[in-house]
Amino acid sequence: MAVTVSLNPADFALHVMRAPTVAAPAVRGNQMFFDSTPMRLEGFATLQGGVGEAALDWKVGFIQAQWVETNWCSYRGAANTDGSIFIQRGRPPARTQGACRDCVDGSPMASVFYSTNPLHREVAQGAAGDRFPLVLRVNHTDQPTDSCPLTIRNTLTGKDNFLQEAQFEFFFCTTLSVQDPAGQFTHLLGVYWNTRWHYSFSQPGNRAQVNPQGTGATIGHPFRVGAIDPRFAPVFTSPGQVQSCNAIFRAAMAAFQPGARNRHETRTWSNFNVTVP
Amino acid sequence: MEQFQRNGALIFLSAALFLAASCTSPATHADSVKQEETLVLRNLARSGDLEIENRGPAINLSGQLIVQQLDGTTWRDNAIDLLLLETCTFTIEPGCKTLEHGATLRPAHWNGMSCAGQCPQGCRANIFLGPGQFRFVVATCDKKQRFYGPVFTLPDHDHSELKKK
Repeated sequence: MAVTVSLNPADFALHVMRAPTVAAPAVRGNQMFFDSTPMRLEGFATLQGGVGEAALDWKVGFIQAQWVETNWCSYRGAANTDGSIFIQRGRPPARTQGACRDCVDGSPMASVFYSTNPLHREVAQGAAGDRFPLVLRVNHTDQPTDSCPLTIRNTLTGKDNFLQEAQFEFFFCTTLSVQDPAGQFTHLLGVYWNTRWHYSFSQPGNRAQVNPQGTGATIGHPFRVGAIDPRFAPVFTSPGQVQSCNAIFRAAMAAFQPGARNRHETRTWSNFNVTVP
Repeated sequence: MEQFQRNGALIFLSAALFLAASCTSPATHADSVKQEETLVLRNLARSGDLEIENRGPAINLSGQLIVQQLDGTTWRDNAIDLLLLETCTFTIEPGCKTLEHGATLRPAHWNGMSCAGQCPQGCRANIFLGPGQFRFVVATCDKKQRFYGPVFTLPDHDHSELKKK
């Protein structure tokens, strides 16, 4: 018999060990920092095989996609004539794509898993001499964050504009998956989760006021994966997905620069449509 | 305050061995060997805080601050993006940094995270690398010499105070 993944429900599991939470924004240097607490998963899968067979090059690990990114910050000067600025980092052209595969910095995108760095222990692999049934256990953790500068100089008025409001929403799906030596994946269980911040700020002192409807973190119940959700299926395991979510986000930071299309400045206080680029 | 010193020749040899071993090095390096002092890396009281003192001639250093993690008996580079920046200026740092004779440098604190570990920035995939044993490594601009700091420990995340800056 060939080595196979056991699909017996008793032979695989995904447990939410810690649900994510979001922290109130805090000033760090010249930034307003939006932090979260780590979400943590544990899971296992079981390989079956015969005597004399080996599970070499079979891998169990986590794959993660981010399928929602809301990301904007608005600024206002001290006086009406000091102007306003709106920075849109969640839409094109600053953000080059919506859904993305989320991989840790330094872990090759081509390996698909969230991290194949052995130091992170996110992937377990069969080895010579393993006996069947072979149970492979893995852990997963993530802690999304973001930040906005506290102050940006309005190039139309020459005055500093101060952070007035910001919204961040990051929605993820994480799966416990098995990869066979041919590179094919079997997705066993998945979980949806998110982190969200929506705050307004007043001067002096960057006093934060929460919008409770837009702030929080949730994680769903693990579910048996059928077809990958079409909202992120194109990026989930595709070798054509060469930029990680971290890389895509960093590229969007160019929206800060004067003249960038996702940076909007006005000479007086303005309200902005947050759904435009 | 721990202190570790090593001369350039030994470092060059170590670096060559390190590269030959596919970016790994045995933990049993003769860390206690005391030779002519050049670049001294010291851990400060809080894990993740480092001070670099140049006791030799001016040296041109790579702007990258490397973190190695002990994996069994082998030190492995942890591919995280740390820099020899002292403050979070959010400007692009030059690729290399000259440290004059007698100068000291205290890079921004590393909080143990895989992403944005020194400065508050956005991250999606982000892992706390503890618990484990770590050491900082500084390289010359041409990457031919490496200078190794003493070992420090990161606790598991639940017991870490590192993120509370």
